[in-house]
Amino acid sequence: MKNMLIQIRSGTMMNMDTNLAVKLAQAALDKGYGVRIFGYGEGVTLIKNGQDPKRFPNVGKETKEMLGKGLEVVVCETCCKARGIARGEEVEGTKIGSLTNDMSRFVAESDRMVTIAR
Amino acid sequence: MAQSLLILVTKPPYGFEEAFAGLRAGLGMLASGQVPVSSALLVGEGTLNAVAAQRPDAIKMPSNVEAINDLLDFEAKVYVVREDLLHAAGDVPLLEGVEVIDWAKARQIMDAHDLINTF
Amino acid sequence: MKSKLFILLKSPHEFTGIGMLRSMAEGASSAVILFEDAVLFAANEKKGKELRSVVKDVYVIKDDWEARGLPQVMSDFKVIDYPDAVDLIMERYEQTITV
Repeated sequence: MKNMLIQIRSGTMMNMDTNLAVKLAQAALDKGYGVRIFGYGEGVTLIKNGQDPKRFPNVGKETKEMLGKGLEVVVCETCCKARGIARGEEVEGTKIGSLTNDMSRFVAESDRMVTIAR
Repeated sequence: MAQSLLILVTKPPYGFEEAFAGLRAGLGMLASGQVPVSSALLVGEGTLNAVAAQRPDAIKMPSNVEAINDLLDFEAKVYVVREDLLHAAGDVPLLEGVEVIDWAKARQIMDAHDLINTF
Repeated sequence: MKSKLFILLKSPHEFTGIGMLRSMAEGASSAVILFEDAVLFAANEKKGKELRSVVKDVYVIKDDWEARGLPQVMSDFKVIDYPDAVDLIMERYEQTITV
């Protein structure tokens, strides 16, 4: 099975980049590809638990629904710390990890990489 | 399955987190031992990350000079597209160890990597 | 030379990297997918033609285009959905590069 790596670096409410990441991941999973998402910089907000954007799509919830269907999500711990997001505040099933342990593994496991950032 | 990652830096050194994040990501790949090759290609205003006389302390920002030197210490390649540097800032001195190239070479370098990560 | 698929998210007004895109695409089989406000290239004849002159194919994401209510996609731009985008990324092109 081929894998797609999506690196998301925009925050959930900055623009529609996280929505794009979620839609692309869903379409790739539907076609049977494995998908890895690495949240870097502002992109770590994707997995903050308790998101409640009312009239906008809830990307945290949408991400959670894709877990276990071939999606793995890890975000950068240093970037989380910079933004005051602590371990335990991530959406269940996602992980606060690192470049060295996790993004590198995602890169090594992937056939294509899509950078979603401005 | 990728063996190599090219960090494509398009953003200038200060004002955005991008360039710093990109150079550090390259370093993370090399430190991991899981991605054998990680190089950096500096294009557009991203070329300014390699300017030798930077003083990030003037605005209390982390040093991209240090990040580039760390990559070079890992024996990673750091490439700077000369025509983009000239266009952005003129013929200014660059850090020792970076490789100044033209776009034809830059295209070859892009081709030689499995994945490309833009910053 | 590896075939290259570029990803563009910025509107024609915001995107200043057309020269860089030209330099990267030269000599390769190339295409760009327009997401989010980048779909506005499909409504802007001057900018759309400029983009078309640097890559071989231009793809426009359908839902982003439809959301904006504009009359007509520039001729020879192709409207695609997300499953099509996945095919382009995973199978049709060898490298994906965000610009």
